[in-house]
Amino acid sequence: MKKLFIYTLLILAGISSFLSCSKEDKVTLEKENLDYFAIINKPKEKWNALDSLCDTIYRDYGVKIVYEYTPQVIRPNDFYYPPTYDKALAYTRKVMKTLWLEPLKKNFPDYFKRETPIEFILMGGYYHGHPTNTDIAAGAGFNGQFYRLGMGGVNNLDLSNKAAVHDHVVTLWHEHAHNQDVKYGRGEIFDRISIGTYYKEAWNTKTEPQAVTDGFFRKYGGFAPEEDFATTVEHLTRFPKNDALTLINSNEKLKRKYNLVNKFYLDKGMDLHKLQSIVYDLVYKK
Amino acid sequence: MKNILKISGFLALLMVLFVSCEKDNITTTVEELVGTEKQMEADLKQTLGKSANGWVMMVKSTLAETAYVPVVMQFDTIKNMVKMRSVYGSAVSNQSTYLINKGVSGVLLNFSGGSAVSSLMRMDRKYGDVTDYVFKVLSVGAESIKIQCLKSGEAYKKEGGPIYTLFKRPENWKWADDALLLDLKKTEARANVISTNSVLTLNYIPTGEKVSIGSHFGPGFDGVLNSWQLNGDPFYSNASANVFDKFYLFYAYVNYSKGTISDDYEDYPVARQGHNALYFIPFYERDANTWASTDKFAKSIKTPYLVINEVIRTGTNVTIKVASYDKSGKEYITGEYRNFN
Repeated sequence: MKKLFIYTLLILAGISSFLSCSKEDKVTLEKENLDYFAIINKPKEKWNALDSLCDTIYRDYGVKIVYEYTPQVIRPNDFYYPPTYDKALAYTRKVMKTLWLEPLKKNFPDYFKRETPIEFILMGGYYHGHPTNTDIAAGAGFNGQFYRLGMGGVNNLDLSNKAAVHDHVVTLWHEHAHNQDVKYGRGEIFDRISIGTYYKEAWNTKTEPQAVTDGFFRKYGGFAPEEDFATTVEHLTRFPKNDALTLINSNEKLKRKYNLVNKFYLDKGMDLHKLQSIVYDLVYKK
Repeated sequence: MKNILKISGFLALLMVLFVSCEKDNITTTVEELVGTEKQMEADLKQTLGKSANGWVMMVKSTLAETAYVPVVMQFDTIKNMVKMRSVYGSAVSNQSTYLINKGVSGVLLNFSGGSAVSSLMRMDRKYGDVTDYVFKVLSVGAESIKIQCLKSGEAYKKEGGPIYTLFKRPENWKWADDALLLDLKKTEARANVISTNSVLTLNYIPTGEKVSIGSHFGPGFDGVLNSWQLNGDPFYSNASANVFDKFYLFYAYVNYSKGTISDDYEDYPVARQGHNALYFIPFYERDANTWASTDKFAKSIKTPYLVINEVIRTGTNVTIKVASYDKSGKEYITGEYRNFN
């Protein structure tokens, strides 16, 4: 009797534990189509003038210009601020189309086809590690990835100031050099030229002539090998060929860096001296 | 007796087994939650466009307790563009984009382009307490929309910053219209206002308190303005926050103890021209005296800004009607600058 009683109890307990919660089966996993991070293109009827321009650029050059920020584009623990609409529109028209993509595709078609990033992010200001601190980090701050390029300072770039625009486009090619470096690697031979002599954080305490004597195109190039590579590209994009070569021939390390970087670019279809004169003419002579 | 105990125990256990899961009767399903979210998204899309004069977000400055700083937002729901007016800056063209996104926390209202909101996120908290330009949408009603900054501040801090209850722009907020009532950058606006003695009277609505302060707007540093704009404008020199036109500023001399029109002044806070507004936020930290004077003025009048709702000119007599609002957009201070007795 006692056993029967216990068995009955156990069986009932067993049954109820299986049945009692059966109503919960209405709860399902999240629907597959609920993707919080899906990238939804803005419907055409909502396009503004800048959306139309970005669409044209995408069709002509395959680069997606990003001027609107969403949590999908900007990581939650970095602080980037979007550009204003009017500034972004003028910037896209002048810098993206006229000064970057148009001459690139026309003059260096092979290089354009293979080495153009697929995304370009416009930043109103610069990269900040803190939302309100006044310190700013390096220019674009996030160009160590080869599919995406970005430039900071769009809100403050005065497009009527030719010197500022020229400097900005040259800096763009500096940032793009980081893309190229990440994609192909600048190589061990380059790194060996100035090995052990980089200034690291002390770069800003040096003078520009001192940096040249030490074998760097700019004192910032003395910061680290990746900036050494990018500032070499920047120098060749900024100064006319003759001026650049005069400086290069004055220093053995500069000469070796120039030979490596110039070949690195020529092999991919980019003549940096030619690029320099095209950019200069577009900014100053048109 | 023993059996009765056993049977009672058995029955009690049986009841517990059957009853204990009653509360598991879950009525909310993921499908329903998704439905609610979709409904909120649809409501938000519609409601944003349903205020002819736009919606108002009141942000808090660390310089004042009761006075809050208004940001008026007018949504074009067809093109997803928003036009903002705040007491800072005086740009006429100030449109930017917005998006309604989904996030893991639900519906998000994302001011995706550079605007007064992203600028305030970047600026010192004296300007406002906005900690993100992306907002979680907490509720949508016909007369109010409750939103919360997604980020609360620095990296790795908790999700969820300040909560704002947006309300429809009151009709009498003339300062927020496009028309400029007083723009001291312009010569015609300066007549009998700049380099003129006046008195500022302020009425504090909740307490009935009245304050009179002697006032004099100095000339606008025209000779050095350009270089100051480039190097000293806290918005312009901070590219991430630079969404307004370059500043225009002048000393707004005050006499706290003599609340009448006179030639004597005790202190020299700096006023900056906003959109139909003047604001008094210390910024030039290299000049400790000016910084302290401006800080003192904002705290003593208990607001960092005064909006300008009307300018009355009769001959050389000028009355500038000003106001400052509380968290819900009600008038907290009303008053006027007057250059005649």
